[in-house]
Amino acid sequence: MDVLRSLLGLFAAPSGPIIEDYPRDSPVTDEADAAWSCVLPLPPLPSASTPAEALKQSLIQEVGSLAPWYAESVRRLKRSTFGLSGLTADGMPEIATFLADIATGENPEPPSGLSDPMPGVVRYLVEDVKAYYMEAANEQPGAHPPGGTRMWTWLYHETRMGQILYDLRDRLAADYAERTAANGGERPSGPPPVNPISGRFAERP
Amino acid sequence: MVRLTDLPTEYAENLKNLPIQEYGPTPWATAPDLKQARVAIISTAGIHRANDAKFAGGSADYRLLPGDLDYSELTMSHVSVNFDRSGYQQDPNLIFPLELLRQMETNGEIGSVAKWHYSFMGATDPSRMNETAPQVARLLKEDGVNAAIFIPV
Repeated sequence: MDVLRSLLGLFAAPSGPIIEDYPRDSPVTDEADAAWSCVLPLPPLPSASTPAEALKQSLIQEVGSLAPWYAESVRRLKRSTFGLSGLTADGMPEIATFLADIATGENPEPPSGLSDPMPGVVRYLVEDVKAYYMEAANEQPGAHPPGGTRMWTWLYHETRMGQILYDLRDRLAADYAERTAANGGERPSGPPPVNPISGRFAERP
Repeated sequence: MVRLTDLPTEYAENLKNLPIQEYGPTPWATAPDLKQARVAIISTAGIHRANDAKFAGGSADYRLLPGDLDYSELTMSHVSVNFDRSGYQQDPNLIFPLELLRQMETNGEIGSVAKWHYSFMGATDPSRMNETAPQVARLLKEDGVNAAIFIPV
């Protein structure tokens, strides 16, 4: 509220243009933010027939372990940023399985009820996955919820889902490169591949 | 708005090197007394109601957000891997302070909250909004708005 009042207070300036810096910073320092850690430990990789299957089982456990915190966030805030894909968070296990299957080279049937056609809707599914994880993490007990950088570090570098998102990026990029080559080096029709991770987090941990 | 010095270096450099559209000098306008002000928000966060059409990349159109909007109706279809949504997820007032404006109206700190607010796609080249921005200006005028808050996200 104080930020908004300060902003509207600028309307009283007799002449301009004016640029004012809001004098106070967030009380959460980078150091304090870096100390945040997810209360829930990652489930261990279960023994399964293949590494991909083990990763998928672990992912489903992870999604399940976050479910109470996501639900608590929705209960408290009475809202969620989940839903761009057209699905609800109840479908998270199915969404996670679907993305994991693509990431491991399969061509699974997409979940029913998606808002947009494949492959473009993958970007919305990824946004919903991020919303689910981040809103669950925000809700966990602690002095303060994590800031953006700490949140992304946790999601991309410390969760099974992060591992899946890197795999997904590589699979979609490889698929696009293959289709480009098959098209004589020209960009194939349709949208460019979805890239769930780039910029500061482009490199795997 | 975030300071360049608080951004990761590569993002700050990218922003500094973006071309800036020249619009020439704009005459200074005296603002109304806040207690008489009818205030609207114009956001570039790519937000809209969940039932509205999603924003396409680079689109110059806008979405209407009603003054009695409940945040549970809000969604954000500006999808970018570099778009940090953590603050928005914790409190939508950070990018769209409608609830706070309504509190200020209740407290008598401002005259009223506009009937409609407007949302654009922040990644769009502003020169592409040369048609839609004047439309929004006319709509604001029809709504009796005499103070607007632009929130670049």
